[in-house]
Amino acid sequence: MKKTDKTSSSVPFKDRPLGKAIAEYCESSSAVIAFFVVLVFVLAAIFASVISPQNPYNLATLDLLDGTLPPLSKSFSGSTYLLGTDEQGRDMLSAILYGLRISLSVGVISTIIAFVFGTSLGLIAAYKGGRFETLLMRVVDLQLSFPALLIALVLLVVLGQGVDKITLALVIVHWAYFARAARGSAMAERNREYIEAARALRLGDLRIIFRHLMPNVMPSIIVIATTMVARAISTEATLSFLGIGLPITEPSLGLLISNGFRYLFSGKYWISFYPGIALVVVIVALNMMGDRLRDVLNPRLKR
Amino acid sequence: MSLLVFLGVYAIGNPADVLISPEATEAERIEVIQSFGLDKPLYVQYGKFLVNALHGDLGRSFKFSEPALKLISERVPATLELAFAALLLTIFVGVPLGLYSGFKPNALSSKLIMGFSAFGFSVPAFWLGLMMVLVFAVFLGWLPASGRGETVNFLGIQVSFLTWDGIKHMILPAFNLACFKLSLIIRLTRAGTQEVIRSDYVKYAKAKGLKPARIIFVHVLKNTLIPITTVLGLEFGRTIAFATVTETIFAWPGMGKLIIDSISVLDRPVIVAYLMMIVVMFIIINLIVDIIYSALDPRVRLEERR
Repeated sequence: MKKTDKTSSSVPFKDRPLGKAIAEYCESSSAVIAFFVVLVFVLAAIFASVISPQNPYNLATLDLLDGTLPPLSKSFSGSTYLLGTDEQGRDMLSAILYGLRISLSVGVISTIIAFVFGTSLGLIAAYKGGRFETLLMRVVDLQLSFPALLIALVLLVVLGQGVDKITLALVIVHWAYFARAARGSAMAERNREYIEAARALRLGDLRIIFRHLMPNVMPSIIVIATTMVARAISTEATLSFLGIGLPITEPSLGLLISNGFRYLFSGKYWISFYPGIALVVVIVALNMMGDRLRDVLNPRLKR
Repeated sequence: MSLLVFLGVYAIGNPADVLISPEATEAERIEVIQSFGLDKPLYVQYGKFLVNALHGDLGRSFKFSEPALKLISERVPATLELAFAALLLTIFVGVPLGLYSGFKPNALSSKLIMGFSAFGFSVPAFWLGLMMVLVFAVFLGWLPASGRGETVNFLGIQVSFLTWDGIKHMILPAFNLACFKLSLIIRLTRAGTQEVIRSDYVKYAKAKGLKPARIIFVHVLKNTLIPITTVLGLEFGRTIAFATVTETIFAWPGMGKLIIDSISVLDRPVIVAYLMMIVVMFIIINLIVDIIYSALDPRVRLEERR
């Protein structure tokens, strides 16, 4: 790794592929904004315990007298609840920050596992071909013919609730997209000269697949990964809203929204509204990033 | 498949805990457990289930003590009605909007349409549903937000679309369910229109001096319809799956709401029966879509013959 770094550092950064891609990405100002929005949300989620005005799950700090207060109202002890409180007097802003942490980590972790698992299988299938490839693609086709929500629903009925269970369900739902995309791009690459050269050097199969084939397939997979994170977050929120995703002890954004549903009919909108806004902003920003990355990384769209 | 579902559902919890009130005596407890056959070993329960399933009996609901299959099939019409309403809404709103924004890509109105489409694409549908309840039912009070409203008997099934009250109850859930598809169809129609407009046969039709209406409906629409139909067919399955969410929000008494309620009380036979039924439904839907696809697109048939 060090060696390659040294040789390539003689070329100015902006002329290297990564630098070029970043420069091109930045040409779209909305994509840059989307990136910073995602960055702010990720940081907010990581430092939730530092920046949130209250620890929403420490019962000692909650005051039932502050229950279901509208946004910007004063608490019993004098501080202001920016986004109001829920029925237990929990500050919604803090609850959203903590919920963001759970939603983002479930989305990101499940996507990373699905990414590793799906991409490896797709690459091996494309490189090896034969019966393994046929079998794998059959499974992928079969799975993709059912809606993701339905599969996740069935899995969660079987598995039960919990962060680990929903992560597993999301991995099982999403790996097929990665496998299909990885195989698709690898099919175009596998007959190129550099693979032939690597084969002629009698490098091991695994080495060819992961050191030669994989870097060339990466761009299209990264695009999918970005949109998959958005999709995973959305699916998790939906399942949690239905009451079969996360248990009440791990309140993600979806659970917060679900909790506020009961109060909607009496006009207490803020309990559902603000967590939803946070969810929508994250998902829209991730999708915008994905769209821009597709434009930058897809060689077919190059002018 | 059936074994997997059965074992999995068995593993989540003991329904006796939910069914029997905590005040019940031990004797009552044992009696209830025996009456449902829950004391038998697992393989006996599964064997019994399989034999009964082959006779079209998927077990009795623990909660309603009615056959699970009957319980579900009673609710299928409500779900199908909602799904069809959403589908019709998608076709009759989505296709014209897509055509319009395809013809005039730079007009302000088409930019608004595309903005709506991008929004509908990203926003989680369940949250959108909640906000629709909030705005139209709670704040404005225009439309009811729960239940099916007045139903009438039509060909032996209860339907809502024939009464004004029923239609009013259907507007919000149908729109909520249609939202994602609507965005998809708008995009698809727009892309298709823009592609077809540039083709030689549309230019030729224009050169012949055909009326714009004829060009739009015959030359452009016909050629963009092929991908739209395929996607709509596939989306119909998604609609039924997603109806779970919409039905939960709007308390629509369909099969989606039934399954969510059953999961929360561990009503095992209903869960198993629902899952089996939805798998069968999906296989049928996918088959129908494949058939329609090959009927519509001659290119698919040609490839198969080769």
